[in-house]
Amino acid sequence: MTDQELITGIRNRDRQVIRHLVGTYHKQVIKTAYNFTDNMDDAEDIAQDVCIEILESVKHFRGDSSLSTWIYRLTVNKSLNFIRKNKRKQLVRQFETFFRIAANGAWNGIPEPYSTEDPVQKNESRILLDDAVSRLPENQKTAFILNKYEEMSYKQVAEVMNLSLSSVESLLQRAKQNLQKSLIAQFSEYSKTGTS
Amino acid sequence: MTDCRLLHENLYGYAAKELPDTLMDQLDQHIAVCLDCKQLLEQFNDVLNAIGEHVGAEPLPYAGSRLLHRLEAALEMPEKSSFVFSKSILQPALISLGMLLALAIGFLIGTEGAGRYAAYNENTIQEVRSDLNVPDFMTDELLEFTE
Repeated sequence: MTDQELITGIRNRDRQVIRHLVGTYHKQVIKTAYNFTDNMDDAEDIAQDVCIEILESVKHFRGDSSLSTWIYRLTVNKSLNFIRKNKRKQLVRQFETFFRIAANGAWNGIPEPYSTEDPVQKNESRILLDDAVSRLPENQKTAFILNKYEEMSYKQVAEVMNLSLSSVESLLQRAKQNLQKSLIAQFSEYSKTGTS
Repeated sequence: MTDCRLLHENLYGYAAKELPDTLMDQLDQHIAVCLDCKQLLEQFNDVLNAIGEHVGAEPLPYAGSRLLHRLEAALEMPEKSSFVFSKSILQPALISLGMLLALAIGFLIGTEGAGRYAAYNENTIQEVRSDLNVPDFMTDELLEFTE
């Protein structure tokens, strides 16, 4: 089925075409969302939002880019929004914990960790990587995830992010510098706590 | 020491083999003799290898069917109320309107009160002046001056 046939079918809410769309793109969407959120359940929630967004926004799709690029763009935006919203939720949760525990006189200053149960068991290196990537500014994180985790070329990253090739190159360069800096700091912190 | 700093500055590029040959050779020689830098490079390489776990990540089994099922359920649901009346638009708009209204009422009460106070003050002054038989040509400033 061509992009145009898919778009026409989605516009007409053709169930068969919607099934085809989900079958073709669900892996791409879930995997990309997972690389941003680090949690498969959250990634599936985002994928559902992305599919609904596709159905609702397909009338505005002008075909300037390929359908796949447009879906990548929607997924990246939904994932970044999800992370932003969860940051707020986490902050609220920390405040609630603070006031609850402070009322009992037992606050030790350590916020409750935000628990997202994930069946993927992570090793130390993976935790360090995810932490360092999560600290990157949004644009650098997006460029890094698309280029390194999704294995997209600079040109594809530029299309998804709607940026010039040179901007993507510069974003990735800065992302690598920041990751390097953050990881070196974490290694030295780790060796200090490891030896003490 | 300089070479240690050079490695710290180019660690990603060195580990990913993205540096020019001359710099790669210089750092190769340094790492061969510096244990700290060798250890740092090993740790960094372990982290870079973890990128592969993200690349190879696969959705959970039956994710596609689950997604389709959830999507169909969402499509079955009645259409949401129009955008203008959605909670995210209407609620903040009403709250802002209420606050503006409260501000306007406060302002009105304040100006009304100030007017009444001024009028009350003026009346009291006139009463005191007539009680004390102060002639009209004696203005307040003149009275203050004579005191």
